[in-house]
Amino acid sequence: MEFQRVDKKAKTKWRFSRIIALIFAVIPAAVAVLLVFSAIAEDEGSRMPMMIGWIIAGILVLIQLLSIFIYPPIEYIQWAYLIAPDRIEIKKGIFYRTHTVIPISRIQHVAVTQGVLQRPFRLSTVQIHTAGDVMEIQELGTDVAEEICSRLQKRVNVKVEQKNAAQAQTDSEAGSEV
Amino acid sequence: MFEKRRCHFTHIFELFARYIYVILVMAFTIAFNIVGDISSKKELLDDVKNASGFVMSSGALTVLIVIGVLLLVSMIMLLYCAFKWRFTFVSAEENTLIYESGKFIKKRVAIPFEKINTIDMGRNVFERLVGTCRLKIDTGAYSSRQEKNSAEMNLVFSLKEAEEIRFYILGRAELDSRAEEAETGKVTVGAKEPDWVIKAGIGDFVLYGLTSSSVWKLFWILVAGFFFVVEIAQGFIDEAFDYLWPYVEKATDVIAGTNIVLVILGMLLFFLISALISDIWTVIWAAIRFADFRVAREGRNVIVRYGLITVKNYTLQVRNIHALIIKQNVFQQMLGRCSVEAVCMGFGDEKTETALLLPIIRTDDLNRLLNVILPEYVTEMNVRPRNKAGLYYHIVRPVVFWGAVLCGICIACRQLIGVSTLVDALAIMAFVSAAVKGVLSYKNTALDWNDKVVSVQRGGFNKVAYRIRTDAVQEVQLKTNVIKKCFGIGSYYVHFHGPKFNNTSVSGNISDRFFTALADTVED
Repeated sequence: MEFQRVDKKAKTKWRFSRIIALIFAVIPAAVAVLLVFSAIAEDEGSRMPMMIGWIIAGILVLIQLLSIFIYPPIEYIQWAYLIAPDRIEIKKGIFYRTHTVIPISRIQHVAVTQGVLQRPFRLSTVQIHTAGDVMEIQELGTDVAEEICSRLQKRVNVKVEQKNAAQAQTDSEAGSEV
Repeated sequence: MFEKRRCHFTHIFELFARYIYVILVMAFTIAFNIVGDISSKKELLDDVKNASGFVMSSGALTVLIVIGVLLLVSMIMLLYCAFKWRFTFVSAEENTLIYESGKFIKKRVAIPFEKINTIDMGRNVFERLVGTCRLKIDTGAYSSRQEKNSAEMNLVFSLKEAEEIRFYILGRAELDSRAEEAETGKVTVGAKEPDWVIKAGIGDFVLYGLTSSSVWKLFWILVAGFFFVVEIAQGFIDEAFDYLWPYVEKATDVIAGTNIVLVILGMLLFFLISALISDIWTVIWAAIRFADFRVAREGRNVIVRYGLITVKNYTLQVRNIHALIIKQNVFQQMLGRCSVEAVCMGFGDEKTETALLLPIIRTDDLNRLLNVILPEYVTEMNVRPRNKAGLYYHIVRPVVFWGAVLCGICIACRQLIGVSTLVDALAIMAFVSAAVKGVLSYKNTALDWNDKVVSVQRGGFNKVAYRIRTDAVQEVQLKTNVIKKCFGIGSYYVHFHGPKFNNTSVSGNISDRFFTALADTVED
């Protein structure tokens, strides 16, 4: 079995959401930094604080621009998931990479969620709940997400039945020994 | 089965005690505000005189009204607690414990015996005086608000009744020989003491106190005390400061003229004296807290009992113990001692709860003792082969980083205040401390697994080893970054099912080639 990639529309969605963050969060933050440092520069009568302000604001905007134009194709390549008969594997991250393995038998329930920004792109997130944590496979096509959800639920049911049967057999063996 | 029974009437006062804190805080806040207002207007003495002569000023009248209102609120709260007690019942049906409460807003909780994870019988001083016991019954279920994950039933009974209920539940849950007695109502309460396999002696408490004390705790207590004194006696502190400052200057001059080796030795001596003072307190505290510590394995339960003033007595079902945490601070590492806690569903999910199994034992005896109480967790930790990249991340990188930072601090100090022997000595000690921590961290990092237990170990001065039941492991994660991936190392995160929502144990900078084998073991 091979690792699957997330939906191709994910790249557009990531860019779209980060442009919104640029307009409503990063640019106002950069302007605030410039205002603060310009006030300090006026007080001190020196140009140095203003230069520091420009550098901080520039770094903020540059990081966001990188995350809009450069990161999405890399993320698309790095993000991957595998649904094997007995386990789910999820790989994600650009600089800090995480590889997660969840045994199917440990899944408590599976949910599909769709955020406001995911809706126009028909994308969804599959949430896998275990007794210890919640893992997500993000930016899947809605049809794919629902198909994965129902497939996982069936596999979980099969695993639970197998486990119950094995437990019943163990109990009956223990009873016969007594 | 047993009929509906009400808990002990002292439950009213224990309920009321929870509310009285709020009332007292309110009372103090209001009183301070009023006294502050009156005294600022210099009317306090007049108010007292007027009050004694039955001529009320506005200030004295306000104080009396506030006291009256608070008393009224207290009475209402007491009546509410009595009402709550009057309509709270516990009963048992065929295989279910029933907890009912409320008259107007009724609540009925049915807990099947087999779902009960923990039965905790704790006794504080008040409960010991009146012969009662707090019985907590927990299924370990997460509530809708997962941060508030408390016991399903938390009531005060007489000791006899609490023992009856405990034996009844244990008997029904295990279907052992006591079940028949419980069904017929002929429960012989406390007739048979468990066979205690571990009993801690006074020597253990002394050793626990000596190795568990924290100099930092003492330091912060002193700091808090200092600021408290500053707050209440500002004028005195100013005078004391003026008086002491010449001596401080003189001491600084003496240090500046002394050899740096002597300064470091002096600081080590100061540290040891502080540790000794801290130890005395910790030994007393440990002797009171863990007095008469004993552990027993009884069928499918582990029973733990300890305490001199507040007695803890809890029963943990072995199937609900999902992991053991073996802790060692730096002193315990040196003396080859460790303490063991259990991660048990339904216990340890409240802030003050810790399912302590063994307060202090010899590390060499760990497997022998576990073989008696929890043989499921007996394993020899095989340290996976370490590689040179791990050596870099554990030792070389922190040593270089702290070396650079401390050199920077020393140079900055020389520029600002001139040559300072004290700063240099502190920097050398911090550097040595970082190096020792790095070596210990490298030595203590380990990962091992078999078909029963996954063992994860980490830590420098404070070493922590988790032994997690394989079937309780929910997922395993390997986290790396671009550079670590090139070196073939990563951090292992093992998420397991515990009383809190996200129970994770981590071991960092281990070769990433074990990940697939670990994941395969967990799946089985």
